[in-house]
Amino acid sequence: MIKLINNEFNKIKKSKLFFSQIIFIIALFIMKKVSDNDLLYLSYNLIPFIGVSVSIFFGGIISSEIENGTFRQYLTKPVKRYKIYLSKLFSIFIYITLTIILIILVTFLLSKTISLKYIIKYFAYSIPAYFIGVFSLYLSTKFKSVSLCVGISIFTLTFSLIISQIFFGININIVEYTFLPYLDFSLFNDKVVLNNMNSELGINLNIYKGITIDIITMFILYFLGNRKFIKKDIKA
Amino acid sequence: MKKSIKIRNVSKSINGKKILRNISFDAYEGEIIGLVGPNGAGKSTLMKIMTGLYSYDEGDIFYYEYNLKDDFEKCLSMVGTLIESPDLYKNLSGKNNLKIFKSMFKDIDEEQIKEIVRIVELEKYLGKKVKTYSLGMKERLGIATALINKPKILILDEPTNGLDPIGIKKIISILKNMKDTTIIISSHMLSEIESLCNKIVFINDGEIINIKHLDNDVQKKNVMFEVDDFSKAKLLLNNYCINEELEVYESDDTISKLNKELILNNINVYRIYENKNNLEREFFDLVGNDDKTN
Repeated sequence: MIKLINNEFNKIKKSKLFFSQIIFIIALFIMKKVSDNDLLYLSYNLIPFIGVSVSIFFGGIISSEIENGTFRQYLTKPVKRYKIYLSKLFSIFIYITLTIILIILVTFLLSKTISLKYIIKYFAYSIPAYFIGVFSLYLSTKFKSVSLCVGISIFTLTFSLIISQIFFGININIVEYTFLPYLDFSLFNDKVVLNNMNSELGINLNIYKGITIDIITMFILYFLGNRKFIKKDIKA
Repeated sequence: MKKSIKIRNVSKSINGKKILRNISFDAYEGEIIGLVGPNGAGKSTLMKIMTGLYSYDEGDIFYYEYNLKDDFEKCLSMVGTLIESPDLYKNLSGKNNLKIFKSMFKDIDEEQIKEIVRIVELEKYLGKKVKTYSLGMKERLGIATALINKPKILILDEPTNGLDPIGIKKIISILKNMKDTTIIISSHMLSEIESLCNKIVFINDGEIINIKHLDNDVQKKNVMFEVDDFSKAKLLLNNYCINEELEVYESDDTISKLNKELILNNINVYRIYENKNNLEREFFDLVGNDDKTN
């Protein structure tokens, strides 16, 4: 499995991933320089961008190999497809985890303060980034076009909260039990705004529900994507 | 000779359309089998099924004693494949491409890789990115990825497609040197198939319509006699003719004997020429001239 994960990083081009992480570091330096606010608090704003970078780099992780024809060689080797699917998922999760660790580390170096609570909260708030990883992987088994996969993934990440607010506005509150309102947990940072929204719309959005729904949906998407990938005819 | 491939009643439908119907044939160690048929006949589908790229609805495929459905990893560890044009990782070097494919097998050492690179004559270019390679070099790197596990079975779908004559010659020479390996190859170049293969499997409309054994070891030739009295000559050579023409498939000695026989019977022989398009003619006889290109 380690060899397969390493293959995935080799294929994507490590330099691009490294470059994206440099951008996160630069963003932290800029935040520190231009804002008087607490850097620990500000660093949460980078989480949606981890999701965006996942969409860009991993959005077509399967479809690109079908589109380029590389799967015609790769999938004829003696490795079961579920292992290849799993290796792709792990490579996405490793990228997200390393990026989070890097952000936490640089935040600590710049602010000289850190707590276990902050680290746990940062990882919990990053669950939507992991979700986008699984979602992107699922999309790439569904669609052949890389740009379509990346596009849908970024669109979902950007507009999911607006779309769910539209549904809440027309009293389709069942949406609160889908992943749509839970792709940006920064919503839960401002308790006043959250409570107002909950009471006005007659809903109950909270982070625990968000984490639970995101994790359950991740599992469902993983199994659906894996099943589709295993049975897929590689036409190219 | 040991049976290396056993295919039984393999069928496949795509979107409700039967693409392959009850495909069955065997292959033995060291045999080179040519899959021949018009575009859309089902050759590539069969090869994709055999290499795990496509699923199949019915039937069984055995590599030695292992069933592809039950022992996928075991089966494909014995197989080397090159399906259509070898689209490898263009942004990586040839060496890194080989590294990726090597990682998917157990127990492949560096010496084995070096040996394969030497066979495909890519030693000088291995450090360069694949996107800078010529078509012939990409094809040879594709062959290298197919040979990386020293396969007992090699499945090649149009490996010489788009290559210049030098490239084709190099690939054929690599394949001819692969002793004890069962090779299944499809190509539209029938002369190339005829010179390389021991057995030809004709496929049309998803079905095997004929299996022809080629006796490449015996020095027999397909020759045509051009004479002044066709009917008299036909009566004389009737036992030797392989069709309605004055065409025979015999050794040099027999051809010479037949020539003398014709002359002794006062038949003027204008010309004796080798017919190298035997397979091509047989192909057209079997499948007609319809092109089923989608």
